[in-house]
Amino acid sequence: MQTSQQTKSVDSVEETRLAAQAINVRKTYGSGDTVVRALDDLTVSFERGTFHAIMGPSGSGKSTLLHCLAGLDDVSSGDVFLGGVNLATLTEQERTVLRRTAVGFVFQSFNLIPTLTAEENVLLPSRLGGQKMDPEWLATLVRTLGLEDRLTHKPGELSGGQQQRVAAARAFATRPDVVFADEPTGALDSISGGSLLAFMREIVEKHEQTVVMVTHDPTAASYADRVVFLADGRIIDELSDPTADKVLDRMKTLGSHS
Amino acid sequence: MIRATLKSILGHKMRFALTTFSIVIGVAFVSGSFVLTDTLSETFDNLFEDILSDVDVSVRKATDEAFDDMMMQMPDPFSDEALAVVQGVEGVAQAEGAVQGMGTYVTPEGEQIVFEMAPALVMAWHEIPELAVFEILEGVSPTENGQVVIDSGTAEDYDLEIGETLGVAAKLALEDFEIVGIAESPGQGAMMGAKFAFLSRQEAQRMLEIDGQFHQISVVKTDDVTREELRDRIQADLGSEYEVLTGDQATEEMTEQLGQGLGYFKSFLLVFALIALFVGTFLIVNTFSIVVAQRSRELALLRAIGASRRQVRLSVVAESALVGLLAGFLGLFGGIVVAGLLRGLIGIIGIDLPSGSNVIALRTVILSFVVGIGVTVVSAVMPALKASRVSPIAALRGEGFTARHSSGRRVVTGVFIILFGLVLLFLGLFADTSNPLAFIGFGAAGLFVGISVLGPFVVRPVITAISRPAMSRAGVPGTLGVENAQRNPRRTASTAAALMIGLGLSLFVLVFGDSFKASASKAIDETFAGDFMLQRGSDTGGPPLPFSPHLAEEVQKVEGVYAAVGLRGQPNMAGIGGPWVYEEEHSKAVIGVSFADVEKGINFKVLEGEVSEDNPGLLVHDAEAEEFGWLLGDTVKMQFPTAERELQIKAIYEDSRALAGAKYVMTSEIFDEVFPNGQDMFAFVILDDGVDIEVVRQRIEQAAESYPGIRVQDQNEIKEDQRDQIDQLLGLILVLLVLAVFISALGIVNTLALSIFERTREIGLLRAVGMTGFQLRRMITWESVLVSLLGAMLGALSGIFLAWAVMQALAEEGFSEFSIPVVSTVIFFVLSAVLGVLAAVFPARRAAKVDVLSAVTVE
Repeated sequence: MQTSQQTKSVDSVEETRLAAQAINVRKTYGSGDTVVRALDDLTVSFERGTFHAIMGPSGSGKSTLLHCLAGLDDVSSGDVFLGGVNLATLTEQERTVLRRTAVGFVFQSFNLIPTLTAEENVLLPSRLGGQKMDPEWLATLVRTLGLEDRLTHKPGELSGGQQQRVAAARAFATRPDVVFADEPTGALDSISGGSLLAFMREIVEKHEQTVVMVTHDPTAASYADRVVFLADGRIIDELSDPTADKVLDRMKTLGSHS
Repeated sequence: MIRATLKSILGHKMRFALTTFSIVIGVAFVSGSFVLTDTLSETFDNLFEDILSDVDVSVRKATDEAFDDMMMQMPDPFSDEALAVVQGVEGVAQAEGAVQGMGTYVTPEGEQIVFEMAPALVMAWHEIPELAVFEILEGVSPTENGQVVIDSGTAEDYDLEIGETLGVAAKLALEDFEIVGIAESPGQGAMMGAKFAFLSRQEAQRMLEIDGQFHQISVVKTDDVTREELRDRIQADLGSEYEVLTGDQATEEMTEQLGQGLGYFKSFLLVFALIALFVGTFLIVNTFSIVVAQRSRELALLRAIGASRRQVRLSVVAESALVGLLAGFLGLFGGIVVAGLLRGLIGIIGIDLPSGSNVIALRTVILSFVVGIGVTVVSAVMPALKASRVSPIAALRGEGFTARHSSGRRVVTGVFIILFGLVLLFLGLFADTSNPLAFIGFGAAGLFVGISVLGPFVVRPVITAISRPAMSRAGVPGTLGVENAQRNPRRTASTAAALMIGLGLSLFVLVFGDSFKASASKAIDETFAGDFMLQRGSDTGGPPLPFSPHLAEEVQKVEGVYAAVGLRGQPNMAGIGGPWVYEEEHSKAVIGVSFADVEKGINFKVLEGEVSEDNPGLLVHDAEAEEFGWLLGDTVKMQFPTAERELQIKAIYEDSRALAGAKYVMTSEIFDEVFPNGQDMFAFVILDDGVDIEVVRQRIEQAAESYPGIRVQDQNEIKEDQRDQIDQLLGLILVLLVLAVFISALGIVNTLALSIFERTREIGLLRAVGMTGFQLRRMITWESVLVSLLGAMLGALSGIFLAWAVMQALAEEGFSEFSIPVVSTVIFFVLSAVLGVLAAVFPARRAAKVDVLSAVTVE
C-alpha cells in the first residue's frame, strides 16, 4: 500500500519522513458576519515514529485539525498531506480506502461495532479491504494491549478501558501511517487511561508507528514525545518530551496570555 | 404535551410520512370500494331511469315465489295471445311484445363477436317509438327479413358499416343479415359493454326459436289512468300466470338486483382492504414501538420534569391519532384514485362500467376517518403503555427499556393466540356455522398474529440458517447484515410478520390454485366421457356459456361420431343446471340429457334402476336420495320457476362428474318444457371405434362453424383450458394482494430507516474505519433481504398450511389433490428477496449519506 501511495506523492525525503502535514490550512464555518475561523492559516508537520499530542482550550480548533488531517473533513484552503498524499487530489472512494489502509482512529467513546466480537472489530478494516491481517502483527498488538482473553467477547461484555484498548488494536491493525486519537482517555478513569496510553506509547516506540492525539489532559499529554498547543485556530507553541507539570505550566501561561 | 407531540411529529417527517402512507393505502382501498360502488349504483339508477321511464307497465311470465331470491337470467317466453289481451284492456294506449336472447355475430372479415364478460344479444326491434330504448342513428330500422341493426358501440369496435353483411347466430345456426342501420341508446352506459343485434320481431322469434312468443310486453298508458290502476286492470285480465309491474317497480327491481351484485363486488373488494389494513396495523405497531424506544430519553425527561404516566401515554396516543386523522383524510381522497384504478382494472377484463361523477357519501367520509384513526390509535396503545412504564432515571441514564415481558409469557400468549386462531379456522372450515368465511378470516388472522408473537424466537436460528449458504462470499457487509437482522429479534420478527401476511396469502392462493388445477385435471381424467367435449367459453375465462342444442344434433350426424351428448342447463349462480325448489326450501339444480344418449355410453354409474329412452323421468344422485329418503320409483314434486312437475325416480346413480357434477338429471324433452330458455352447457362427443380421430375432429369443427364461439377440445385441451381459467382468476386475486405485500415492504423500509437513524454513530464509525458507501449499502441490503426472506418463510409455512386446511374442508367437493407449485414457490422466494433489495434502496442511500464527522464526534 505504501508503494501505491508513493505514486501520488511528491518524491522527496522530506515528504516520506512526515506521516502527516498541514500547510497553510484554513477552515471556516458560516459566512459574512457570523464567519468562524476554526483553523487560521495553520501549518504543522507530524514526523513518523513519534507520539504527538495536540492541546488547547475548548474551541481552539484541535478536533477540527484532527478531522482535517484524517480526511474526515474538508479544508477551506491549504493542503493536507497524509503519508505523502495530498488529500485534495483524492475522490471520496479513494479517501475511504485511505482511511482503511493509511489511517487508524481511536475516538473518545463508541469505537466498536456492538454486534462484532473484539477480534472481529480489530480485523474489520483489513476485512473491509478484503485483506488478511498479518497474524504476527495481530499477535503482537493483542499481547501488547493485554487482550488475549478478551478476543471472543462482544463490546458489551468489556470494560471501558478494555474497549478502548480493542479500539487501539483496531487502529494499529493495518500499520497505518498515522493513528488519530480524539480524547481516547476522555471517558476512562485515570488508571485505565494511563495503561491505554502506555500501551500506545509502547507500540509507537517498538514498531515505528505514529500517533496524533487530541487531549485536554496534561497527564495524557505527558505520554507524548511532543505537544503542540493550539489557540484560535493557530499553533502558538510546542513542547518536546513533555511532563505533566511542564504541560500544565505552559497551559497556564498560555491561558493568561490569551 | 400537545406541543411536545406536534414537535415530535414534525421532528421526524420521514417516519411520519411512511407510517401515514401505510394506513392511507388501507383507508384508500376501503373508501375506494365504497366510492366506486356508490358511484356505480347512482349512475345505474339514473341510466335505468332513462331507459325505463317511458314504460308505464310491463308484463312477464310469473316466477314462483320460491325463486324470489334468485337472480333470474332472463324471463321465460309466453304466448303472444297475452299481447291481444293486454291491448284489449281499457287504458292501454299502446303495447308491444319484446323478444331477446343470447347470440353471436360474425363480421364480414370472419371475426367472431361473442360473450366477453358482457353478452352479445339478439333482440326484436321496438316498433313503438315511445318504447324504444334505442334510436336509429344512421340508416333504417329492421323491418324485413334478413335485416339487422347494430348498436353504435359494436359498430365502432368492429368497424361495421351499413350495407355490410353480419352473420348472426342464436338458437338457430349462423345466418347472414344485411346491416341496415346503426342505433344508439341514451342509456347505453347501463349495458356494461353488452352488444346488440336488432332484427324484425318475426326474425328474432325465428332465430331464438320462440315463434309466436314474447319474453315481455311493454305498455304505454292513456292519460286518464294511473300506472297502478292500469297494472291492476291488466293483472286481473291476464291472471296469476303473469306478473305485471309498473315502470317504477321494474326500475326498482333492476336497481335492487344491481345493488345485490354491487354488494358482492363491494364485499370482495373490502376483503382486500381489510387485509391491507391488517398489514398496516403491524406496521404502525412496529413503528410506534421503535419510536417510543428511541424517544425513551425524551419521554423520561418529560417524566422527570413532572409529566404523569397518563400524560406520556396520551402524548403517544395523540401522536397516533394525528397520524390517523391525516391518514383518514388522505385515504378518503386516495379512495377516489383507487376507485379509478379499480374501474380501469375491470375495464381491462372487458366490462365497460358507465362513468359518472364520483359519489362520496357521508358514510364513506365517516368510515375513512373512523378506520384511519381507529386502526392507528389501537395500534399505538401497546407502545404507549410501554412508554409510560419508562422509569425516568433509568431512561435518562440511557438504559431504555429493561422491563421486558418474560419470554415464558410471550410463548404462552403466542401459543394461545395460535390455538385460538386454529379453533376458529377449523370451526369455519368444518363446523356448520352461519358465516364460515368470517370464522376462517378471523382464524387466519389469529394464526398470523400468533406466529408474529412467537416470531422473535425463530429470528436467530432461521436467519443464521438461511444466511449460511451465502455468507462465505458475502464478506464483512454480509456478516454485519446478518448480525443487524438478529440484534433486535422482536423488531425483525414484527417487520417480517407484516410481510408474512401478504406473502402467506399469496402463497395460499398459489398452492390452493395449483391444487385446484390438479384436482380439476384428475376429475377430468376420471370422468371425461368420450373423445371430445364441445363448449362455448369466452376468451377471457369465466363460466361456460350456453349454446344451441342443435349443435349436438348436427354433430351427431357427422360421419364417425357415435354419440353427441348435450347437457342441457341454464346458467345461474349455483351452477350450470336449471334451478328448482323442493318443498319450498331446498334450492337445487337439474340438468337435462337425452336418455337415449345416456344409454349409448356416457360414463355414468347407475346403482339402482335403469336409464332408458322409453322411460323418461328423473335420475337422482345417491347422496341426495339418501338425504331426502327417496327410493327408486318414488315421485318427486319439482317446483320450477314457471312450471311444476311430478317426476318419477327412474335411477339412482353414484358418480355424477361425467355430468358436470349434476345431482339431478332429467330427460331433455321435459327440461325443454320447463326451461324454455334452456340450452346446452356442454356436449360430449363419442367417436366410433377405429376412426381417424383427427379427420373426424375436422368434420366436427366444420359442423360447429355455424355456431360461433364453440370449441372442440379433447381431454388435454380441456385441462389446459381449465388451468388457464384458474390462472386468470389467481392472477386477479394476486394483483389485489400485491397491495398488502407493498404495504409490508413499506414496513421494511420504515423499520430499516428507523434502525439506521438509531445506528447513526455506528454507521459513522464503519465509514471512519474504511467501509465504502457501496459496502454500507450492501450491508443494509443484506439485512433487508434476510428480513424479507424470513417473512417469506413464515408466509410460506402459514400459506401452505392454510391451503392444506381449506383443501381438507373442500375434499368432498372434489378438491382431492393437494399440490404445491414448485416453480411458483421458488419464484415466490426469489421475488421476496428482490423485494428486500428494493426495500433497502432508500434506507441504504440514506445511510450512505450519514456524515462521518457528525457521527463520530460527541454531542
